[in-house]
Amino acid sequence: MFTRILKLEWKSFFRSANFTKGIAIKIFLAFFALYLIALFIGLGVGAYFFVANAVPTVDPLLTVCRCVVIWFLADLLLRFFAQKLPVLNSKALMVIPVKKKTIIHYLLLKSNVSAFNIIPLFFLLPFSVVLLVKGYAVANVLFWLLSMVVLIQVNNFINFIINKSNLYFYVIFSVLATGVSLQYFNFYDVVTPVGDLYFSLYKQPFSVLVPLSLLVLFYVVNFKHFLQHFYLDDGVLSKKEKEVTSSEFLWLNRFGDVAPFLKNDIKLIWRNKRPRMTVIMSLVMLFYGLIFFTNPMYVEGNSVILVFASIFITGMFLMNFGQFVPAWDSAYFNLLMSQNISMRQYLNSKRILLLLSIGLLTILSVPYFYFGWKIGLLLLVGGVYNAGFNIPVLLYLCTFNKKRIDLEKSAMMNYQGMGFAQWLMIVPMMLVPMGIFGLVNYLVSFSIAVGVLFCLGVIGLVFQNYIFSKLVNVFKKRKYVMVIGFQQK
Amino acid sequence: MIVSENISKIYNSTTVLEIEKFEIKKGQSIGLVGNNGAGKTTFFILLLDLIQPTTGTIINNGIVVSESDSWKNFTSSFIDESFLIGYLTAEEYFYFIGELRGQNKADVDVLVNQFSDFFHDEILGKKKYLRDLSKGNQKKVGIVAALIGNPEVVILDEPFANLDPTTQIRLKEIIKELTQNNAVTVLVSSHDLSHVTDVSDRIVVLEKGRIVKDLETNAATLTELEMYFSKSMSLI
Repeated sequence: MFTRILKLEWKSFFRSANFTKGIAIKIFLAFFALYLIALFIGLGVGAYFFVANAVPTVDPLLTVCRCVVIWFLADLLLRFFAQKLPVLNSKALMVIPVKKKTIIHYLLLKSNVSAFNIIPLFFLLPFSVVLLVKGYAVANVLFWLLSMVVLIQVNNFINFIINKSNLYFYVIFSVLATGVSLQYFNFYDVVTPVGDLYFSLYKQPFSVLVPLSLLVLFYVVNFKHFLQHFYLDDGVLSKKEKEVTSSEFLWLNRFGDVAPFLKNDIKLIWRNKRPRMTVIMSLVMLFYGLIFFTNPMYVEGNSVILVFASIFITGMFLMNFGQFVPAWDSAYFNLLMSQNISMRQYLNSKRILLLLSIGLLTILSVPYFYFGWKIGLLLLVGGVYNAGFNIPVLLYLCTFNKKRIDLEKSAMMNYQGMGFAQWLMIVPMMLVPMGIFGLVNYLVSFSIAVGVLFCLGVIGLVFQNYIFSKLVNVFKKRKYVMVIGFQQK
Repeated sequence: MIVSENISKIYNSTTVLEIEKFEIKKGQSIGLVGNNGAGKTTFFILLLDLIQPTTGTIINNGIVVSESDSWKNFTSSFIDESFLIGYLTAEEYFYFIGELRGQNKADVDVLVNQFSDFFHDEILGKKKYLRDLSKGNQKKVGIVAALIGNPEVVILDEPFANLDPTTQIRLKEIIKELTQNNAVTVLVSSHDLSHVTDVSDRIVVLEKGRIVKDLETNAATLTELEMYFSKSMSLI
């Protein structure tokens, strides 16, 4: 039976939307994966020498073991928020003659093949090799490695049970919280003894039995819990439905005929995972300015990088959210296209939303004025340039959007809806203003360069209605392509 | 009211719709029947200008649908779940459609309350998003929303499918009321021959994109349709 389910899995992988994505995204993802792997291998090789230098009095392995305590805690935290149990297809399997137990064993085992469990190996393996080279006992190192791998799997299963069962969540949470607060308030040093325990896994190879029995324990706990709750309306397979509070946003009515759409867009952002995360990211990115504006090298030197920062900060929502207009509405695009609204009204509502976001982000970046008039000026000009020049550019590129977006998927590492336009966007929106500014700044002066960007933004704003009418016509022509594209899941 | 001339739709050399001349009078209620792939939905979404015809034009109340948006003022439709906004509650959805069709909240409330028996207390005031409702309840929301704002043309694709028996009967009453004074033109497609003959003045049978029968409904129509479809079964 297992092999049959595996075959299904194979098909679902190779026929999935992810796998049939564009070549550019595949290459990008492959590079990103290679980068991560290289990073961890580098860390694995370097850790021993780094630690030996930093804490020369202690056995480097012992120091690493103490760091592992914090690593495992962070790992569990990250898993709790990001790792979900794979439940795909299990609905179809529930009604056909496969034993429930088989399905659950399968689901639990499948969860082991996860990036969370595999990526640590790229650290642990090279690190163990270094240990061997440095003359640590072979058998002891191998058993220590085994213990670490098993403990990562233990984390894997702890995560599922605390995600699904409140009882286990509170028990494990209170144990960990006690430990963290003891450490944090300096009542008792928890890290050292726990780290020493990990170290003893190296000293006493047979103590690998302890992590192994932990693994068995948590596997069985998960298995029993799942077996009891393996019903459609139970916690394992379904998500809990929350009561909805409706809100009216009456203050938006001042925007006239686009008000219904603005209200809808705010609900879209608030109630769906992916747009919500996009907005949160835009706000977090406000702090990105600290990297540039506090660094004298950037502030004193040529200001091109500051232009980049200003456009980036004030236009984060414009780029993050704007790039997928109108794909955000893909699930109900047919409704919007056949309801009593014109394309102009619809797009205008998006344009106003983007304008509002630029205004808001520019206001929120006011504290940066503390770092000097130059930075303040550039942020204002960045806002004006985004509003006048980048909005039409972005909306034009958006006419190439024809890929559906599922609102309820996470925004992290999510390339659904990505197309050629998203890759091209960076050139006109960031590089062109940087280039213009850099050139004028180099040939003439800083103030003229700022003036040029400002004028470009203002010209865009002055002619916005004319440009906008042209854009509406382009959208009208692309409507049919979008209707078909947005239906494709 | 609706005139289509020489309309055809061809996908990769497969003709899915080919109708020379088709005219629907104001206030008529039309039932489209036909097996899967007959072209019913294709005709509806051509009428809504969601796809472009390969040849021909459709004119809705004097307006060529692909050239102007103004047919949207008086036309409303529910085709499938892509006409629902999943992250709104039923009330929010009704008000949203109401706002688009120039109706204030009170107007929408009056209309929606007429259908409270339609909803069996499962939709209004439930504080649930549309995406969390059952398929049948989603359909009810979509159908009622298509009646908001006094439309003159109402297009419903398979409205009886997935509905419970009480609601099916109520929906038939609603459609009859709409066309009673010849004010509203209703286009309905269905696989249920008895329902569709109950509510339509005229039945059009499509087969592989072509009109093969065009009947004024009378007492014998249902039998004729049943004969027709059982015959086409025996031919296969």
